[in-house]
Amino acid sequence: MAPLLFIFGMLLLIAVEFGGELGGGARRWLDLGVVRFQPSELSKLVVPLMIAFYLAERPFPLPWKNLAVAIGLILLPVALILRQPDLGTALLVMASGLAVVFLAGISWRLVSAGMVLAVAMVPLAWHFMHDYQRGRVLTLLDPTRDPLGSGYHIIQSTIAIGSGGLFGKGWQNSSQSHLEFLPESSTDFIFAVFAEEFGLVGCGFLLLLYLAVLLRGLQISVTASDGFGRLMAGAIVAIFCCYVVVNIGMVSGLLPVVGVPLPLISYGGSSLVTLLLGFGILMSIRNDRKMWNK
Amino acid sequence: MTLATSLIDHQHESKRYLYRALVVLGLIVVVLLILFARLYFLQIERYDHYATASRSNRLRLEVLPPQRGTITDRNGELIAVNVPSYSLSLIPEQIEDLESLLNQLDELVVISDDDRKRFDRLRKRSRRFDPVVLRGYLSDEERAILAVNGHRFAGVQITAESVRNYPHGDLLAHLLGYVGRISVQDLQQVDAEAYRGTRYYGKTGIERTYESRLHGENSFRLVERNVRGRVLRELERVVPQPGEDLQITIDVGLQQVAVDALQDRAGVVVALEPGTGAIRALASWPAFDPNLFVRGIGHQDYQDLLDDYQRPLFNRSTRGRYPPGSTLKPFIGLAGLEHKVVDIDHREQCPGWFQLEGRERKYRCWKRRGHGSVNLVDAITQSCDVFFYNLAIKLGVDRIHDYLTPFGFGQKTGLVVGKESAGLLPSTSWKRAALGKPWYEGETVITGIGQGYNEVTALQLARATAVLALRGQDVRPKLLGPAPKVKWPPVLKAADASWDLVIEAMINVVHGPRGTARSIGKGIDYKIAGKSGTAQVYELSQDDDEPKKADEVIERLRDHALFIAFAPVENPQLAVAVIVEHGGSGSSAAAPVARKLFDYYFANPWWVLCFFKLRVMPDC
Amino acid sequence: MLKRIRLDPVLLTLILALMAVGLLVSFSASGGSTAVVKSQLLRMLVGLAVMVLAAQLPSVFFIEWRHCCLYSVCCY
Repeated sequence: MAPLLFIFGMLLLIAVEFGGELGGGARRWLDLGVVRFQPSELSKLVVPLMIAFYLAERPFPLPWKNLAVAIGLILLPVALILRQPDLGTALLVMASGLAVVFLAGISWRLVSAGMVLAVAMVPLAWHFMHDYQRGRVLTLLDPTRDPLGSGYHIIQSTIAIGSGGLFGKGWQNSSQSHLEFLPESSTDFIFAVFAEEFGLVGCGFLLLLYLAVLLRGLQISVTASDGFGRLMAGAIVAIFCCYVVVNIGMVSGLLPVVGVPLPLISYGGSSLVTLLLGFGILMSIRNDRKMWNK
Repeated sequence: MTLATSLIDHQHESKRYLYRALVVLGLIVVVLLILFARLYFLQIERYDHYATASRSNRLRLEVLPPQRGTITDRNGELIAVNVPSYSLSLIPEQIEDLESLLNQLDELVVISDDDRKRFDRLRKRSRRFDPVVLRGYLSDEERAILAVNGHRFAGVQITAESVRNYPHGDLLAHLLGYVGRISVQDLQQVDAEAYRGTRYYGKTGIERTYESRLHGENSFRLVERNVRGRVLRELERVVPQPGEDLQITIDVGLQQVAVDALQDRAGVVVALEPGTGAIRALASWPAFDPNLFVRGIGHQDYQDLLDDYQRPLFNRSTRGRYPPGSTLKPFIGLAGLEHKVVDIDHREQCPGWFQLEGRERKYRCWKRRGHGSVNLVDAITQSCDVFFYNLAIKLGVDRIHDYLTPFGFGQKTGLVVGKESAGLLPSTSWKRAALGKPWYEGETVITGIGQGYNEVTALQLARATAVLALRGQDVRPKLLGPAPKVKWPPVLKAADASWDLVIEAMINVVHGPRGTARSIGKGIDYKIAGKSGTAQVYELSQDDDEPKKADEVIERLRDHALFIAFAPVENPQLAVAVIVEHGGSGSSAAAPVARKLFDYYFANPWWVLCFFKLRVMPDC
Repeated sequence: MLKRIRLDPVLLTLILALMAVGLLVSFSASGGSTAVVKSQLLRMLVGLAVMVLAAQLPSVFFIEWRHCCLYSVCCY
């Protein structure tokens, strides 16, 4: 089943490459007649699924051959998504895949080697980035560089967050959201509105909620009945965590602006459905543990 | 592997996994703590800074849309400009009693029910702190009244924007196209960031094709506002880069002559300069007023345009497909000469009809009594159908197809503005592929006089005429100026004698004593080569011996009148194709239009106008 | 009830709480537009339906059946 899903996901990505809808200079959408769908969203789930399936019952530490195949399986969709281009999603897909590889068990030496390699790759990645992507990284370092584009968003969202203070201005009282940094305030930048209205207390509460979801996910993962369930649950947790961290990091000016929604809160179709599909799988893994351990 | 070791293994694995999961948990906690620390820094440490920034909220960036480029004709006359327009807008958030405010405003300026309905609709879609348009296109007087009284009301704004205007109205409608309110679909075609603040987008015609050049680049200004949102002063302004001003090859004067000459009959006039390919007139009539579409055309107006049986929205000049009729004869004659199936001395007897050997059916000549003995020159001059029935049978449809292809029949001319139809130049293989039927000889017969499957657009016809005028040199129609003289490679080669013969025949059409269009050859000091055509729309019975008079046939079934021509013959400056829908005979309905075009064009050479400063011209 | 349809009450509660926050903030961010909230609610319902469906599948469903059978025979 997992390989079938994986192949299906890849086919969708290739379909986007050839017949995708153009939107804002990038080719990401697939028009299915009734709904428009973003296949790269689905790959966030399908890729870790595939890796988990592939690595489920491998010995420890992972043989080189299996590791190489797993990396290849991750890089294929990542390359396709990068071509769209959608850097944010590509990084998320890569992170979720690598999280599974890590959980499946590779030696610490490899992990540290990988980290060194990743750092070494930064200049190379810079070379291959699109101009607008470079622009976003530069904007992070100096938000006034591009005051009409993403820099403006960062300036406005940090003002919004900062002016929220400890308790916030109260629901429906955010004044920054009245400014021009909408329309994205209901999608990717919604956290800024939240932080302005509910303050640090609200943000702390929200982070705790997210932490609780992650903890529960990890618990399900650890107590899963088989290797596949473990890895899959771990991967879902990893994806969810990436969403939260990248989105809040971006809105608060810690990370460059990439199109990543705030999970379960941002307005958005594909990513919401994908996430909930993940949670469905998570619940199913938990149920199977119960049945089998009786 | 025994069950026991497997179980132990399994437990080992679980343990190792637990260990790794703990590492992941640690990472998660650390990262969330970093985020929390960042939020703490922003919301507690630097609270004062951001709170002031937010509270005073004085500085605000506003997008400045660029000024759209203007469009001028070849003489520098403005045909698409931008004019300021003022709208009355309300900010819902600042209004306490909307109903009474509307009534009060209604006493100052007219606010129709439609305005109110649209306002209600827009208000639901927009945010309560954004201005919503209540009334657009305020007159100067209304603006003055509001300026005096407006301060009494809170939440009332007068906003100015730059709106497209086409001073020549319907004269250039199909060609120029129009801009309209930018839509969600439009925005998906472009970089949304570059179009922030832009409210209009080229929907059709030149406005659409050259949208990216006309648009320009937006920019921003930094303004100081008070709490109510009023701009106190401007601190910084980066001037937007205006769009490019375009000059097109059309001569508005010639276009006007063309439209006037059509006298409100539906039709097309195309005039182009053979040497450069520059289109000097491209009129499709009836037309519509593009300014209606800029404002947002009302439902009723639009329905009226759609319901009009003459279809004013339809761009006949590039999309209208017409049977070429006898205008095809010079080209087929040339094919006959070059394939050596006829020569200068070859004669045919025209008794007034033609019959295929062993068939009953009679193909009639337009002249019932027949032309008697005619050669090729006579046949073109007098438009003898029987001669060309014979010629077509001798050539065969595939040779006709192959010979006429280089003139551009059956293909798009490659004009990038608007949608273009390819027309149809039939052949046996085309018919087999498209209709799945074999070709019949009878169809070849009527192909010889441009009837049957043949379909052309007026632009194609003008181009083919220009190619003929230049004796086989290619001509590529263009609309965007300036138009330098280009020597395109020849598309077909023919003997000089053949060209001479066909062109001589076309001169006879206008200047010869028996030419079909001799009525336009009177009182003229230059030479026109032309060919009239009368294309059947409705097939009258071929066996009917009593021909119906044209005016007895109801208008919609009347023949299309066509005329192609170029002049002066020695040094062709203008090639023209005229089609008058249901105009009747080509020589009487279409040919005079061509004459008027030539007269105007040669009497008003652009450099003379330039010299006497009769027009504002940038290149002067 | 929740057990019967194989949903995890803890996770479900957390998800619903987050969604409620999302609706609240969307309403405010859109300047009080109920249309936005309605449309988001619809998306959430679709997502929840997908989740309930996915929870019905045994997790082994995501692996090949053959694999799963072998595994259960070996280990249990």
